[in-house]
Amino acid sequence: MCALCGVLMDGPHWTEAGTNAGRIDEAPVGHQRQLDRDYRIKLINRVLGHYGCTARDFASSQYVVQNLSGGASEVVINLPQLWQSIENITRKLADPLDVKLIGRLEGRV
Amino acid sequence: MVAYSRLTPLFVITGFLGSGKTTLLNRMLRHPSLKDAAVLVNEFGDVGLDHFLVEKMDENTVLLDSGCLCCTIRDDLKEAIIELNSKRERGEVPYFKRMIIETTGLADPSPIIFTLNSDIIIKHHYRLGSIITTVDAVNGLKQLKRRSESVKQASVADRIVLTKTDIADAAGTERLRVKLKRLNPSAELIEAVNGEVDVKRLLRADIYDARTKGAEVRRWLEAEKQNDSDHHHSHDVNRHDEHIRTFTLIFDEALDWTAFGIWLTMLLHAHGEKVLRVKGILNVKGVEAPVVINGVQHVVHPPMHLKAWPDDDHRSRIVFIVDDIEQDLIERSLAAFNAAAAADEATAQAAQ
Repeated sequence: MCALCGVLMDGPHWTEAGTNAGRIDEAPVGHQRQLDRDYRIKLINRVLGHYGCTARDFASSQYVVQNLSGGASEVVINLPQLWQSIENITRKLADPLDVKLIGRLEGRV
Repeated sequence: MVAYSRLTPLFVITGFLGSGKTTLLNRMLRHPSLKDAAVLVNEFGDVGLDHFLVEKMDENTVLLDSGCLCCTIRDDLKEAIIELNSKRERGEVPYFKRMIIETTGLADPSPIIFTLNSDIIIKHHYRLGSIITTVDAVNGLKQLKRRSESVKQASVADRIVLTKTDIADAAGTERLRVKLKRLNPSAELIEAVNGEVDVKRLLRADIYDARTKGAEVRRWLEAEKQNDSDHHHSHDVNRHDEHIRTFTLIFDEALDWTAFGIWLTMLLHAHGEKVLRVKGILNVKGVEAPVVINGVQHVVHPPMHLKAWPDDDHRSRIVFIVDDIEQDLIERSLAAFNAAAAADEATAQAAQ
């Protein structure tokens, strides 16, 4: 558990393995880890725009998810928790099969 | 932390009531290679298990806040594994190198798999080996038609053991065999001949065994290819369980690993209960060696590399077994996530 925020910590999530080192079965370390996190957050925010929310890094180990008004926010440690957080904040299911979300992502290409 | 492949493997034996789970387990435990296995059973049935270490668990389930039935923690199982682990560490029981869990016949195997992946102590000492499902050749077809538990048990399996073939009629057994192959093509179908099975084949060759993982992935892909070609030639709408769909998505372009992780976690968040299996081999952008993924409902095992591609086809191939989700929608969604990442990359490069 994080002594500052009380969030229960776990080992690295399977999605947190980077690709720049040429392997995905080992979590990256140091600067590479931060670059991977920044890239992940950038892509997450492409999706969260559909829900009127954003995510930002916190202490290189957690994500702060909040709605655009800033009125609701949650701290999470991995992607499965992040999707649950979107649901808690927006009362909408974070669903990648939502055709409106798919259309939004396809529109970027 | 110990490498995932070196953790103690946990094998789950499941199967409908009367399908021969305990008989199979008894036969397996007589095999010399399983002298070092611990066994957890839900109930001590009429068939006594003759083994050095057999513990009983009482079913006690805790439903998590998400309310999803497959995300249920089996407290009894968790406690039983942790207690056995402590005894092993203290030297109070012989040092076991494998653990076998036998479920009840009406059990949905998903909470068991979820439990193994949700407790931090268990995760640091154990990994899932194979899910072995027994299907009775006499009653299997009826059970698959009428009982959702039976369909689920067969769909999540890595190995399906066909039992009682000696007393079933040959035509019925063949129909069952065809049905199982279509329901879960990549599961290896093994016939128990007079109750005897090749134990090594059942327990040793799992996907995280470094010696066999390449061959196992090759087997998945070949079985899927065969299933797809059968599918294009028959179009019998009644051959699958009404709601279960099995298909392979193939992507020509390399996938962005970060986008894939975002997409799969989101898919499993929204539809994990309906994604019975997802497994396959990925061509990941920037990574030379192929990547193997393997998931059962909400649980995804750590991805791993193969040393080389199992065949000449270097495209990403992902096998899905789903309950009532359209293939086209899954394919379009993953492609959109991947394309969004590619577009971002192109924009970033143009800005430099």
